[in-house]
Amino acid sequence: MERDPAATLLRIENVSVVHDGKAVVDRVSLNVQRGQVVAIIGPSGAGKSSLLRTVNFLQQPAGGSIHLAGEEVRPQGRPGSRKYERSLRKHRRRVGVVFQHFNLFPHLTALENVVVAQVHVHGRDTAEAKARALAELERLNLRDCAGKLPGQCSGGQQQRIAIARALALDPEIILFDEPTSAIDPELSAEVLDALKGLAAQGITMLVVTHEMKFAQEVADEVVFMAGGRIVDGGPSAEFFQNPSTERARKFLQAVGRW
Amino acid sequence: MNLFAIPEILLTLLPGVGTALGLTVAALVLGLPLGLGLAVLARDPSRPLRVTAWCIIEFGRGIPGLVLLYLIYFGLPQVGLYYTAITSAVIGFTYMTAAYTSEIFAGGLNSISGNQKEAVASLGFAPFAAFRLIYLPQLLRVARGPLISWGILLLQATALGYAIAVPEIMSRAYNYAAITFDYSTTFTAAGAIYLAITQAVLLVFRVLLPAREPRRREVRSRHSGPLAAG
Repeated sequence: MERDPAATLLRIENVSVVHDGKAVVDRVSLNVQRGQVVAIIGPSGAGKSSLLRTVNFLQQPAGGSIHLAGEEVRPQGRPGSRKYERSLRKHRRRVGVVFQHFNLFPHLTALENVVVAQVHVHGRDTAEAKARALAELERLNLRDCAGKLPGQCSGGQQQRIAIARALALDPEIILFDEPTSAIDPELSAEVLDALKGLAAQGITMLVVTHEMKFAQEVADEVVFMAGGRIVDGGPSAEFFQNPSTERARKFLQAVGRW
Repeated sequence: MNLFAIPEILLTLLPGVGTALGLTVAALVLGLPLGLGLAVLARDPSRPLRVTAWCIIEFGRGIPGLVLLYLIYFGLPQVGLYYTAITSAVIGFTYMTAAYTSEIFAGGLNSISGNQKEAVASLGFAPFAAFRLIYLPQLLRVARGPLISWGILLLQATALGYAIAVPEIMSRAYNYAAITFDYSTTFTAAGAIYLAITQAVLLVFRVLLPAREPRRREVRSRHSGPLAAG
């Protein structure tokens, strides 16, 4: 826990999210250090995904602030307007996102999915982007998928393609929104292994997950959310050994982890 | 039916084929981009732009093609705008194409899931690049069938050109039949010509807008597994 504050990469401060007048995220603060893996766990409806999505403003926070590498992100203009989207583009290019449903481009092959933003957003030349894409696909054990459309790949493969797409853009942090929830259980292991590999390489990750085993084994820190607030948390080993709150204990019991 | 008249009828009508095809191609080349533009404008954040697009679209769809052609060919000269029959027809059919296909494009745009927009936003795409590389190819996949249907309808709609003396198939047939009184043979031949070029045009469309396989399997990726949760 006691780390150099200068190493704080992402600082979420007092962030709230309101849906239909109800605060689904209620003044939550959270820090992620460079190179750290932080898992957000908790029951459904706790506001985990909403919180995650505020980091790159796919979800507009109703209050609070987001700081990346010490700088506050301040979108301009009305949410949803062109000005707003434009003002966020730079920030979003520094933050990778892996979605629950992969959100791959169905008309592009796996390789093209990993190439397209490199060339058309980051301005790399095509040959360089292709080489990088192939290297990322290789690293995620997807060499055979390169020429296939997403629809021709399994769920586990599609999610790994999505991870490759994010990695190829050299983001400072990658957000994972329940990356294994839409995948057949027997295939989620390959995605979790991929995440483990990234963690070992020191890639900063903020992961919303229902996979307790992953949170326990891979995450450095665990954040337990319930009812829109952070209720418990701490270094992963300690948390799973001895959750300090009754609410977290009940949750861990329910999922068979305590 | 006078079968012996058929060669003469065909010789009379065939020059109209070029005119009909020419009108169709011109209206598509000019009208499809306009239709796409109108579809995009119709969902612009700016309300005045949206309303303007809506008015243009509804005017184009709500007025019968024949009335539109009359307005352009006979009506516009009264305000000092003179166009030849052919030009009038091109203007009219282009407008019809833009108005009708804008709805087809809008349907295609609506079919693009929020997932795609999230991916595009999170990757930091600029709007034009996103449209060209991500949305347009997916939209065309959905719009392909209806656009082809519109192309066929348009080809047949060029028969309306006879009303403003465009020398296309129908007006040639009408003139020929009015002289010979052989309506049944003449219009049967005209129908056969339309049928033949419709098939030819379909073929051209299939080449221009090939369906890319496989098209349906992506659905699987949107399906939540048993562990999916909010």
